[in-house]
Amino acid sequence: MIDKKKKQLYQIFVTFMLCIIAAISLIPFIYLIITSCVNDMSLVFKNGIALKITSDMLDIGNYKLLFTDNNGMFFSWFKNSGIITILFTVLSIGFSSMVGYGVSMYKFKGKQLLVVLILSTMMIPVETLMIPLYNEIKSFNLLNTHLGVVLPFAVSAFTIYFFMQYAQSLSPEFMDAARIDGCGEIRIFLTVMVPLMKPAFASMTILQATNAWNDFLWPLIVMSKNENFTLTVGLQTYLSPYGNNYNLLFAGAVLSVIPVMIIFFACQKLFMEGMIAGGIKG
Amino acid sequence: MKRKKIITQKTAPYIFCAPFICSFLVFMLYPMINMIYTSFFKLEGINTYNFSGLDNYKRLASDTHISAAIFNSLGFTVGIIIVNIVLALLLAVLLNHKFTPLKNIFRSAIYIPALTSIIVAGIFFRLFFASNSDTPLNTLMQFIGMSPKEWLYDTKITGIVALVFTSTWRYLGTNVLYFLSALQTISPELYDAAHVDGASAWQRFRHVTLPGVKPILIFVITILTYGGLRMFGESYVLWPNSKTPGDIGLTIVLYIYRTAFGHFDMGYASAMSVVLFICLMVLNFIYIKTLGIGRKEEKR
Repeated sequence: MIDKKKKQLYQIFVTFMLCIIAAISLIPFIYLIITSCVNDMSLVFKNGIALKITSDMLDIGNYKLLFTDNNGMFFSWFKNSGIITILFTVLSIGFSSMVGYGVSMYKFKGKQLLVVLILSTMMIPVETLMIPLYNEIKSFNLLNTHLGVVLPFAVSAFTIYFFMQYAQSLSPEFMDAARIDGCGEIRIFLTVMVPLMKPAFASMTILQATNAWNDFLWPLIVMSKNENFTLTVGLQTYLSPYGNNYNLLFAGAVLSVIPVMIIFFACQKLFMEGMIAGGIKG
Repeated sequence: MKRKKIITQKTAPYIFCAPFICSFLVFMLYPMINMIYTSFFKLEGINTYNFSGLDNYKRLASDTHISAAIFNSLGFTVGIIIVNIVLALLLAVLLNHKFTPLKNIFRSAIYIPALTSIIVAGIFFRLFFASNSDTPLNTLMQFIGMSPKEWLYDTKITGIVALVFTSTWRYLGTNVLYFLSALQTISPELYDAAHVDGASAWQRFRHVTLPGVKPILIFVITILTYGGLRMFGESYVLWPNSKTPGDIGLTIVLYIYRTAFGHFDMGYASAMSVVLFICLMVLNFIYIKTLGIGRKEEKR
């Protein structure tokens, strides 16, 4: 009896605590969604977060404005973010899985050195190399291009490491069996091993796509023309304290979160696993 | 006649590894050398650089913005480590407890902020930390008997508080997940045994939970240290036009960014990057030495 009472007390207390934390996590979203429908943004600008919002202040005018403003500039940002995300994810997953598989499944000269290089570059941040990389991308004539944003980080040591770890759990006997059947090395990789690594591909795809979609610093450096901005870079230009860009800012911010949210709710389990595995980028 | 294959078991690994080797040479090694080279040149006039030896590095020592930036970045790093470790560990323990209701819903709710970009978080938290005395935060301050603050403009400390809060909002869920994954590897029998021995809740936490999550704990502390020192986005979006009056909220990377792409002094900015790079590599080295990268994955 006492135990049962204790249990109930614990549950009430814990639920209360978790509700507070969950509220802190979710309130900014709810606030953004509601505020994005306020038509007179000067009120938000003046009163900030303390603004009492009443239902007669709301409509979807801001979203309409987003479609028409500057010839629908917002949607070219949306498109840029989409292209960069897809391009980055495909290149990154393709290359990294190749390298990860190659390093862990073969014995070859220089393997040790390669592993050390991969491990030690895993933690070199973009931030320290942004200046020379900017100069390099400039000399390649890749400023303001999608490739310029994608290429420097397409082969990420972290993703390679993840595939290395995963490939180690595969049995080399599959490879030998395929060799006896007369399979070439490339075909073994594509037709035998890639299907075996499916779970790794799934988590990494989700992780890399989210990272690419939300990336800020590097696109900010590479893209300098308005029509080439990604969503994060473009939205940031609305963050000026002057003028009434708040209408566009809030509506745009809400729309920018939607694609990631859809993927999240569609494959929550994979997402969580990918994030746990992908901690290093955190 | 047998056609001789070019791709054999001997050559295949080199082909598989070629992307990394190319990318390493072009986007890592060359830029690194280039950066060190550039750091010896001084901007004179508008667009002319002259060789100046170690002048840029000497300038680092006397630059007051640098000491402010280091103070902010270190303060921010210590802040996120303490807040994240305490909160994330506590939440993970609660979310792992068998009596806790609605675990999956709470887990998702806490995790959702991690899906957003820093811009989305910045929009909200800029308003949240606004100077008006009627914001919820300042109302709370008055409620507990303190005066309302201009958080983003008061002192460096209040600036750091705002940064830590914004950053924690986005990353807490991810850190909770790490601890959860570690907690799930601890066998429930250990807890039962401790229970039978009459261990209190604190003793169970101290002697069963903590040793069980230790590898992840070190891992999380390391990525937080590392993420804290390279932080840029938070301070870029919290202050309007990314101006940081009185150096409140100025971080190391923001200062490098501003020097390079605002004042176009690539030489000086490169010198700063070189120093930051060395510091991070030293940390990286300690990390590899003390716990070995990847023990986390093996743990699972």
